[in-house]
Amino acid sequence: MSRLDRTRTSAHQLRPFFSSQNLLNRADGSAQFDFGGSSVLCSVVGPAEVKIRQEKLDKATIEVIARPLVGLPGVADKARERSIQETLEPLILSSLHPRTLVQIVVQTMKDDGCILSTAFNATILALLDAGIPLQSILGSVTCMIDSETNEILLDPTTEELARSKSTHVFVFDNKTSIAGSANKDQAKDQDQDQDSLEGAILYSDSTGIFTENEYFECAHAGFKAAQAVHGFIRTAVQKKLEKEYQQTQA
Amino acid sequence: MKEADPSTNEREFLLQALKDGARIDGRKFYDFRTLRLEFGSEYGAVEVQLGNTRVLAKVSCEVIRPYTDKPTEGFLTFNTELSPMASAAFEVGRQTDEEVLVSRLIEKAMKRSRALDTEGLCIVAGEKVWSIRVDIHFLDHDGNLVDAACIAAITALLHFRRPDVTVVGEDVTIHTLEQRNPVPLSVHHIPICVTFAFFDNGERMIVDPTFLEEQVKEGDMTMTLNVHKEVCALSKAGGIPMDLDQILQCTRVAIVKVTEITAQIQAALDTDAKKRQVSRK
Amino acid sequence: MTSITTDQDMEQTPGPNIVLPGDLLPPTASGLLEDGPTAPVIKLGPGLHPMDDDTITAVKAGVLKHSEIGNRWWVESNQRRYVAAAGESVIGVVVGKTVEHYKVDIGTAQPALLGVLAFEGATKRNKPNLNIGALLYCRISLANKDMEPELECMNPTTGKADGYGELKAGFVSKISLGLARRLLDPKSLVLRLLGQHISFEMATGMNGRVWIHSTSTKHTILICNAIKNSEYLDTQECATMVKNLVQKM
Repeated sequence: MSRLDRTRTSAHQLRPFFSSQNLLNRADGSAQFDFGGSSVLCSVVGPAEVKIRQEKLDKATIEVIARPLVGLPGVADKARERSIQETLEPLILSSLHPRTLVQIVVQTMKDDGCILSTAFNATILALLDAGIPLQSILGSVTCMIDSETNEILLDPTTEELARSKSTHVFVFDNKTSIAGSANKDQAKDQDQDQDSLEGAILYSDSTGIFTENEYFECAHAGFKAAQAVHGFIRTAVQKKLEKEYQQTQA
Repeated sequence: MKEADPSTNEREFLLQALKDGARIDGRKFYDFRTLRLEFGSEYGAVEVQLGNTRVLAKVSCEVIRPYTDKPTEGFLTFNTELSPMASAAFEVGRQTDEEVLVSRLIEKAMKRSRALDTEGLCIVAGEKVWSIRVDIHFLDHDGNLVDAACIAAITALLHFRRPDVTVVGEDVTIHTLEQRNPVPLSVHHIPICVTFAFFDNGERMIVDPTFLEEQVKEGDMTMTLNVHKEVCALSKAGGIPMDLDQILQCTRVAIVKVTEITAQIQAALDTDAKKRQVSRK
Repeated sequence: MTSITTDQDMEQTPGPNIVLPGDLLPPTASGLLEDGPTAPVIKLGPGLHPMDDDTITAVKAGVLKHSEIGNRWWVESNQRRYVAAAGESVIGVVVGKTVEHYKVDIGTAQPALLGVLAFEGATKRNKPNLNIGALLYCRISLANKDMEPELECMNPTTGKADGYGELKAGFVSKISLGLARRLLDPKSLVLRLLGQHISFEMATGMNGRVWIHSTSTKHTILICNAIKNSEYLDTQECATMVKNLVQKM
């Protein structure tokens, strides 16, 4: 079945990714991430000086500021701030930088659905660029169930979301082994573990009416798609490092 | 977080370099940094890069009821809140003096110069008018936010298309973009800001200061002109006193810059229009 | 700035061993699986962290490096924000002054402390007097995540200045920490190329600041810009860039 946006041919196809790291000069780390027509720019400052009232004695304070494309920040933006902050807090090794601030600003640049997922992916790329110590990386995908066909659509556009019965935002982490011949077996074991989705979901937010079965189907489809996001993030980091190492290799 | 002051060495080096006729980034005194304009997929979204300074402008519109004393006038509003993304010194919900000044300057240059025909935004007098909103997002701060923001705002307004409407008696139909080609706003003229910074008791003056140059400067002045050699706004808020001749000299420099920038904006708009035509076919 | 899209090849090209946070240190290679008194000792450097589940995980994105001497493992990564580490040389700006200490901004979360007597031959009666805004080349004597870093302007073993102290005149450029590390390499390409045309003094701080001083402001500006430009260029491009800049002069 073809999708409403006409550029995609299957329900599980994602829009093309685009990313760019280290594009702002004042921030300590920055990244832009696009899912087709949706784009989010994220900047990270830190570990930096923290105000006394925000200071935590044993760990870094994580502050997330989400800014909308149009108008003043509202309830939806506050909710997005909380979602990102609470997902990242356990992921960032904040005890390594006590009494400091890690400030994350998430700016919507283009909105064509799935802004929260786009923001998650932009944020992780910006944190990697800033060199903030992390337990693992994450990848986020949104899916929806069509109200007419009951089909699961991945990475829907605004137009498609208008016909949704329910929408589901997922964030998955990436606990894999370093690719190397010595531990391929172990890597395989872990892949199987992750197929059963155990302990891999970092964030899940569903709205609308759906059955238990539908939820698990969405989670499964989302997990597969998140692997593609993880792979993309790895390639993005690799490309950046290759550029840095050009002189030493030659 | 406060902005860290530059070291004495940086300060003195910058001033010495200016005496030797050079700027830190290799520019001449009256050079702007490289200006880049990038349009989004939607109408009215423009990202402007002026060297390392980056601004995003997004225009949106809605239909609202006009004020009773001005029944035929539409609205034009600007949102210029400075985001901590541009610099950690900007805090959410607390404006510094610099922020207020930047916001005021942009309003003055864009709104009070009557660049946009607000009467043309009327749909039904006393009942329905368009309200045009320009959101300006500061993404990266390497000095001269005002000029970059003004270029972004006016380019976004020129690029923007509002939905077409038909009025039959009392009935107002707003057509979607698919039904009818959207219509551009009527922009009277293109005001462009040119900011000067002064050093050495006003003896040396430069155009388009970087962040470091802004930190070291002794005074500044922002001039808003259009291509017809009309001064739309002039703002010199404090700083060292200046000679009248120097202000005239500034206008002569500014008019050259305004002509260049206007031409670049027009060229960018034309290229984008052609691209859109091709993709529609 | 680096950008990629999905259209580009997503294949992993063989090259440096790139790790991302969450990647585990290969247990067999490092001898982590062995237990008992014969198990080799592993030394972990920056970018690697032991987790609660007894695994060793990368916490930064970068290149995994290993040195046989001492079985050391670390992740070489690049960032802009400096986190103090003892023994590193840095460039800072004096931002405050108390009876006992200077407060020095070295780019860390909190300003570092420099004792007023931490200079070569300084005594209570005879000590250097630094003003706010002064630029310093100094050494981190103490770094601890819970405290402000501490600095000194001398070599602790000899008590000699060894080049540490106030930097007079010149200009400071802010660069990435990775580029600063590369500039400290005596074989650094851009510095060798520049040295063929211009003579200059420089001090590189591990905190991503580089101080340049030469006989003329135009030379200093050229050197600063060449260093900044060199970060993402290959050997050939770097040579062309320096050549063009020198020719323009």
